[in-house]
Amino acid sequence: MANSKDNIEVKKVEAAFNPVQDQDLDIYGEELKKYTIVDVDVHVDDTLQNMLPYMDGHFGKRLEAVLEADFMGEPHNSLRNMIAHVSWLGAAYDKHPRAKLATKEDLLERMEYGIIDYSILFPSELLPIGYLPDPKWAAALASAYNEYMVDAYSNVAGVKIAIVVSPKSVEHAVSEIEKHAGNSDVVTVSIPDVGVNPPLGDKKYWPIYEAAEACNLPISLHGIEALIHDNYPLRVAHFPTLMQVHSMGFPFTSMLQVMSVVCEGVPVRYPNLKFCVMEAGITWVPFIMHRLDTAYRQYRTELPALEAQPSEYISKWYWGTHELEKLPKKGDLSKLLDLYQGHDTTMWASDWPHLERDLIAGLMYYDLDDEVRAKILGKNAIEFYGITT
Amino acid sequence: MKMNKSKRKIAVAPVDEFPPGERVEIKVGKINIAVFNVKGEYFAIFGICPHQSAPLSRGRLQGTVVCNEHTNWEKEWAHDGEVLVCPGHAMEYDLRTGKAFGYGMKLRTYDVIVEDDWVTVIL
Repeated sequence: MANSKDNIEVKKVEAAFNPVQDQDLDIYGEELKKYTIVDVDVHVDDTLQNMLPYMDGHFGKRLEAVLEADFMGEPHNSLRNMIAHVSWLGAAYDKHPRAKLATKEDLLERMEYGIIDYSILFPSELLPIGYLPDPKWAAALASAYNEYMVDAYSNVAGVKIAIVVSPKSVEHAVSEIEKHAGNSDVVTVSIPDVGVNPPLGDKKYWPIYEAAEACNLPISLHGIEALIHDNYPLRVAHFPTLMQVHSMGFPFTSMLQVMSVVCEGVPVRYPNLKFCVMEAGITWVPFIMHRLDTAYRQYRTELPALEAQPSEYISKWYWGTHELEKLPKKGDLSKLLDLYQGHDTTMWASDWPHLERDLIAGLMYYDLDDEVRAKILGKNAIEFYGITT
Repeated sequence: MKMNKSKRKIAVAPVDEFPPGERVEIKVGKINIAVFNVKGEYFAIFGICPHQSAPLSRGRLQGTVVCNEHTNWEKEWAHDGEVLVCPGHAMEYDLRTGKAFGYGMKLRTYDVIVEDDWVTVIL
């Protein structure tokens, strides 16, 4: 092609079929290499077919039937498409098709590129698990998922795993936590926080928290924006566009769960148990802290177990940044962090390789003290997940 | 006295090496420019999305959905082939004007000429 003089480069390119990822960009040079970077929300191909070898008997047959479902969604992704998003299917027809499911090779290639030092793997397919009305089916899926992920991703340098539990299946959840806690690559218990009734602060879930605390595993709440019937504890099914549902589904559900867990006294009862919220953004964190404080002042006697106002407990929660909001000025993230004391608790998350994933440029856009940037990019996650290797 | 700034020309490719449907990314110092041949017409637009720096040269060209008084406030598909969709998070830019659909913002566009049988961008 053309000339390369005067610091000019010209190259032919092609349209990206899938959304571009950080490794498609060529703008970082050495800048990021000085940081240890932990991407705390990464997804790999966890479609149901992968779980089939880990399920036998009755539930294995049920899964075989699910895999044969003639549903025009992603291949083998029938469960999630059947109970999530389907009311709005096709609404965003002009967008990319769903980003390519990441194989293990894709994950390793991404990490070898040199930007990401650690990836924490979270479920995709089983994010609606809280909704499934049959707790035994939910438990069977969770077990199979955990076994598959541990089999496939243990002892892979830089890769850490979130096991999933079905909140409706409390005894099973406890046994899953105890079963996998000894694996140093299992770093958190992921509780999908949508569709589960009652909300997660209820006493019926406390054995899960007790087990996680005893096993020194933090809890990561991870949502999904829309279930077909009900985003319990939030209703979004009546909004006509996926944009509306996506915008509010994640943060409002998470807010309600944060409220439930804190106000029911879980952090008092289990003071060493750490919590984080994934995939809900961060601009709402000051709101939930101070709104709850306002109500607490008036109604404290309804929450006699709390020894401090809610914001003090919430200030100890951790937050995955994705979807990182684009605030008007470069200095605005620093102001936001001040508002919720998030310098030591905010963790960079991309949601790779999903459609809405953040590119690391989204964080680098902001002016931050270098120490705060280093914390958000990785140090806070290493602390939260107890990563030592 | 007002000085005319002489415009810098970047020779991108020979015309017969830049057929319709293809696109090129130019880096001039720190500036990226995306250049497209759409059915024989050339367009050049600032090449980095201001959202999260995704490369617009890799964006799909398609149409978009409009809704205004001309459509009687109904949703319609329009501007087929002239909407550059960012491969980062699907922000859309009018390839002719650089205007972002749905935002009060536009990216810089550049004139493209053919000079001595070379597709040439004028900065």
